[in-house]
Amino acid sequence: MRAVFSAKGIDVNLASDQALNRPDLDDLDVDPPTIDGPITAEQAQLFSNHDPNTPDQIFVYFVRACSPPQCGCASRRPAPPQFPNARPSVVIASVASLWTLAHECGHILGLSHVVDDKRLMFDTTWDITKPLPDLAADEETKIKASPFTK
Amino acid sequence: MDVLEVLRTEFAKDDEVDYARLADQLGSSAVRALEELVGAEDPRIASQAVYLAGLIDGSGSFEVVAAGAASRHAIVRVSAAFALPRLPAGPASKLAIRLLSDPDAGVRGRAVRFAAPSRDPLLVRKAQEIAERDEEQWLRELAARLLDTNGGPPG
Repeated sequence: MRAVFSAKGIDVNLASDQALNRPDLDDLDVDPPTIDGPITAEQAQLFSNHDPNTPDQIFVYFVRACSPPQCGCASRRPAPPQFPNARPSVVIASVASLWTLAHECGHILGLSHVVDDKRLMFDTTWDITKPLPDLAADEETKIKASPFTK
Repeated sequence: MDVLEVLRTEFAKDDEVDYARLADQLGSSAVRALEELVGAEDPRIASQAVYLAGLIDGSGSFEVVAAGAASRHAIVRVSAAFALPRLPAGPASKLAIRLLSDPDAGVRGRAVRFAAPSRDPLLVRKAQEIAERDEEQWLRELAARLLDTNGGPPG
């Protein structure tokens, strides 16, 4: 992930990490997965582990599986009632590709899918053909304008 | 593009796989291809095939979910457990009984979420057994909480 973004002069900083003891959420119901729509009760439980003092960070949760099955999903939805502000969250499943994390963070930062299999936002990251996927100029502009980029 | 190829293309996506649209468009014509994908060695694709089969109301779709429940890969079995609420009651109960005894705690956990609130006395009894005797504390607590929320075990 760092390599893709740093190619455009964007650093990725890991603020902190921790191992959560929530085996009940290791197979996570995200149905239906939407980036700005409602989240499920299980997503709300998982996302309740957000640090409330860090509203401008993207939170990434690694799980074994999602239902419906997919490599990952991104959510910018505020999780009521305890979170008055949006807490952008990414869930990554164990079947993810090398690029899924960067791809889902791309969604959080405002990027959409593309049809070019050399780019990070190709909808099938397992099939990206370039060793280091590209970010296009307009994607770079969007990322730099995102509230989650400083 | 044949059905198998359509499914392989859709299932390759990282996200935004539109399962509902696939179920509507393909319906029971997808069952044979789904059987093949569940039997393949890729657990990522197999778990997706199981999920889609659970959305299809047609001959053979239950057998695809049942095949997923017998997979050697836990993420495929957990996909079958996620499908339980969408299956017809009788077959779902039979499958749930098997999944409640799964060696993987996550699969049992997903199955107990289906069993505890059900009206099937056998399923509720199995959920009670998990609440009392499962080796995983988190699962005992989850089952007990679900049973309590739904009025407790049968008398």
